[in-house]
Amino acid sequence: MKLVNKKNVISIICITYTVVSIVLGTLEIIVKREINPSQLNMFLCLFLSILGVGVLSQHYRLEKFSPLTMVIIQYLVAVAIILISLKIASYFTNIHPDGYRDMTISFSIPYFIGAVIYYICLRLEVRKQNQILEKIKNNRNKS
Amino acid sequence: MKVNEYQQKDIFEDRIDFYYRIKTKEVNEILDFLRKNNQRLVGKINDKQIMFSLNDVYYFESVDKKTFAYLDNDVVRIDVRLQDLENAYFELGFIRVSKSTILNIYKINSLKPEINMRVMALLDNGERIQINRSYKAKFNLFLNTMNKGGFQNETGK
Repeated sequence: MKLVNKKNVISIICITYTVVSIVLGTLEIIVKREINPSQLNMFLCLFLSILGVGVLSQHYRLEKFSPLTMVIIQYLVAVAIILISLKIASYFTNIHPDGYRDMTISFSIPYFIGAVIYYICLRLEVRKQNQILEKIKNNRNKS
Repeated sequence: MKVNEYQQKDIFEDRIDFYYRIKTKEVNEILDFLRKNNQRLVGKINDKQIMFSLNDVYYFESVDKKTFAYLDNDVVRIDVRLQDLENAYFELGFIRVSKSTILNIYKINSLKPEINMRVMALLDNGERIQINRSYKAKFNLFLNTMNKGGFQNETGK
């Protein structure tokens, strides 16, 4: 049986890269007993990814709200978690005075680009659905 | 094919007898069309029993565990569960678009994305029905299948 195929090859590369990077990074921190800025950045990205996936995975709980409301609620929850995490981190390490603002911007920009892409895709999808609907109705009228 | 039509006022119900030598594709299409147009349901409006054609239904909705069929001007209560309606009539263009609604795609005038990112179906009678996002993928698949000739073609492959 083929374990790696066209469908899963990208996911497997991403998972392998992530696991290798985290394991090696963790081992280096343990051996050297110190954490450098690039390792800190890597673990921060890991945390943000887990947070992003976690927030998105809960979207089915917000089914009664419109997608726009859901996007805003998820954004506010995610930003709140990021800021609280930074506050907690500030007790253990020094955080730049602009850290809170920069972190919020770093998260907000890709998040809102994603939301805009979602809306554009939705419009294109609906346009295609309307064309299909028209075809179905025409086919029925012809028969 | 020879077509004859007769008017007979004393019969209880309209009737079509279709004679064929071999069941060709054309025969199947005509039979299919007749069957689709012959689906009838029984329901109640204010305790008065009425019979209506499935083709006249815009959508079915379940409210407080009661099922209603929405026609052009009437709302008919029927004693059929939404799930059973979905299973029985999906081949005829009925698709579930939310937990409580089954929509007749032939009654959709157009689909419209709203600014709040919801998709609404505008029906021929002017009503608006929301297509729930968790049913969106199923709805897309349904439209594509219907576009390719419907579920009978699908199973016949």
